[in-house]
Amino acid sequence: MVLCIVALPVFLLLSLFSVKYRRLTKEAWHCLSRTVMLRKCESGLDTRIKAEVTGSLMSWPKIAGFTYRYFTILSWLFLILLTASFILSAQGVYNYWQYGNCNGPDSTGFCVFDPLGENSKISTSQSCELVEKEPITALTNTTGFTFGEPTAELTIIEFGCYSCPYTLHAQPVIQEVLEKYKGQVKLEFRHFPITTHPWAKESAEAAECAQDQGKFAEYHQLLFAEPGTIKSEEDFFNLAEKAGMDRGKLKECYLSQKYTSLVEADFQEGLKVGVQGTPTFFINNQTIVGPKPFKTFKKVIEEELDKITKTR
Amino acid sequence: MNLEEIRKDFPVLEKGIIYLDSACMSLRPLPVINKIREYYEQYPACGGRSQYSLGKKVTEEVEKSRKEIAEFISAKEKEIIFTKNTTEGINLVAHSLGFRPGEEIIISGKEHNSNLLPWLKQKEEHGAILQVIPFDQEFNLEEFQKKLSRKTRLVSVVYTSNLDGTSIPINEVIKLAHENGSLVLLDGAQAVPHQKINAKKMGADFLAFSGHKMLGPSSGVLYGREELLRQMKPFIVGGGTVKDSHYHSAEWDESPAKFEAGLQDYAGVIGLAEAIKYLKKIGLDEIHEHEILLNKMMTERLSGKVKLLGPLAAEKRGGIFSFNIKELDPHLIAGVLDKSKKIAVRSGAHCVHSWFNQHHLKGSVRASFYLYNTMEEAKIFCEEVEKIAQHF
Repeated sequence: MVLCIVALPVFLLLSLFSVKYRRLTKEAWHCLSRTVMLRKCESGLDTRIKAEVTGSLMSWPKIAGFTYRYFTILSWLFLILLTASFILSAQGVYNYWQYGNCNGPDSTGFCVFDPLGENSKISTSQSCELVEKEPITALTNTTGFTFGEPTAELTIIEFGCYSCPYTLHAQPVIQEVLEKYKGQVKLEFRHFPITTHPWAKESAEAAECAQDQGKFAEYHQLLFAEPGTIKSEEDFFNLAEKAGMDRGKLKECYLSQKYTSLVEADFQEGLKVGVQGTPTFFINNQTIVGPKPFKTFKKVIEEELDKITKTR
Repeated sequence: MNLEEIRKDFPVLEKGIIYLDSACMSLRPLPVINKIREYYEQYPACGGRSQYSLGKKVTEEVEKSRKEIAEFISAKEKEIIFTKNTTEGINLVAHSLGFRPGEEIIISGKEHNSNLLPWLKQKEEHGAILQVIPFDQEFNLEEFQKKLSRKTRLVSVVYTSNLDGTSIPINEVIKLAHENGSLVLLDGAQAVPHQKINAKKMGADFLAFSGHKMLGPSSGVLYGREELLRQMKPFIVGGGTVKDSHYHSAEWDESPAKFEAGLQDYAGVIGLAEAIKYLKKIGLDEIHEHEILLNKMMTERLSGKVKLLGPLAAEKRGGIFSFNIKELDPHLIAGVLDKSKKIAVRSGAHCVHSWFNQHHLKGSVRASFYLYNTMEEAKIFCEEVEKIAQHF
């Protein structure tokens, strides 16, 4: 019977591509239904499959003999593997549909449905050293600038880098999230400047200097709005003017390296909670890595908002 | 016999298959294939009824073929009826003789369904009585003698069994049957392709055989004694079986025309004659000797490792080696042989269900050889069977 159970889905799948497997699918079904009714499988399909498998192993007669003798056990093993594989595949499809990556929201691993990894690309820092990951609640040393209404109950913590194309790529989705969940969700931006990216650390420091003039949000948007415009320190000051800020004040702040230690502290905090690259988002205990689509954020946000509602 | 040259005539062997199922269907050599092609390319018309040149050519070729086939079994041309296969030949006799309630038919215990079911039908529909003579290692002649009675109208037995290659003592059977006043029909499907047959000398009343088991295309022949055929009514009737017909009556033609209804398989008939020429060129004695040689080697090498069906002496089994390995399913063995070394063997009951049921066996694996099989092929077959016997 086990052979028919294995054969049925395999032939069913193959019959989508070749007509000859349709007859075999019918045979497998017929064989299975008769066996379930405790009647003999008359088509001989089981014998033919057994002969095909053992016959192809006859160059190694001992293995062929072993396969023949333990064919039922091997078939059960194969069935278990097949079932597990189906479950994992289904899970992968669900994950892709829901999170944009077959392996889940916090994975950057290869996904067959997204072979170029567009939904999971991150910039990694060479200075990243794997340390024992701590929970997100360990983020205590620093705080980042918050977008959205301060009273919102749910906080998304984003570790991003101004020179990272994937952090940039995630920006429209973040905007959409903040608009759709206005009043419910806010976003706290943390600096995780990728060391290999030019002007990454300096951009973070300049953004913090902008906050001295209450213009972090505007400066932040400008840094992302015109990627690649920073080619010298002067460009930071030019950008300040564009944001309606006092160029001199920003220059003074920047040159004094006032926020170097803060940016470094953010980076270390990121490492502490397991950030490997940018962008990485934390929504309570759930992690989203890479520029995932809106529906991925939606799923996690809805879950977390539900939890908040229930705990009231 | 130059095997290397012979094998060049069988293009399918270039595929690397080891064909050991000639008892079911033999391979066809190029001269036969070319002859069939010649019919379709040069004169693909009706025979025996057309006055144009192509039609006359077909008639000429068919009658030449009938002569060739008649000579092959030492019979007269008018005693040769073309059929679809052996099965049709036997059915023709069964229906044309017409049995009455109480008339007895004797068969052997090792009959192909084709020489069992037509008589079972006579039993069911006309009340004929079927007597079965045990035939295991050897045909039980004593029992046969006992079963012969004044009611016995026909003895219809297999000449050489397709199950294990054993033959019945044909001369004794025919002699005893004729002394009893009974007719004799021989199923010669496995005999005619492998040995010289002299129908006249042998004295059988009917002999049915197939062209596709003797290098020919799918076709059959029924030999019948002239005087018997003259008396018999046709089985299947239609075009070509009458001299004249009216709305309420018909005048049957002479034999063999009255038994060959409708347009015939002319390519098949012409191809069969060509196959006979080919066999004659090689020599039936040489072919028989070659088959025995292969069978002897296999028997010596595999005896004790497999359960052989039939007598141990290879000479008594001709070109057939039928066996089982432990309790393994014969179909599985055949499947493994096919997959591992492209060895084509038959498995199952070989249409002799009655014998297997009587002996409580599921079936067997049957390797059957012919002129194109080599000793090397037989050795590969033995190696694979040994592996299965040892490791499965």
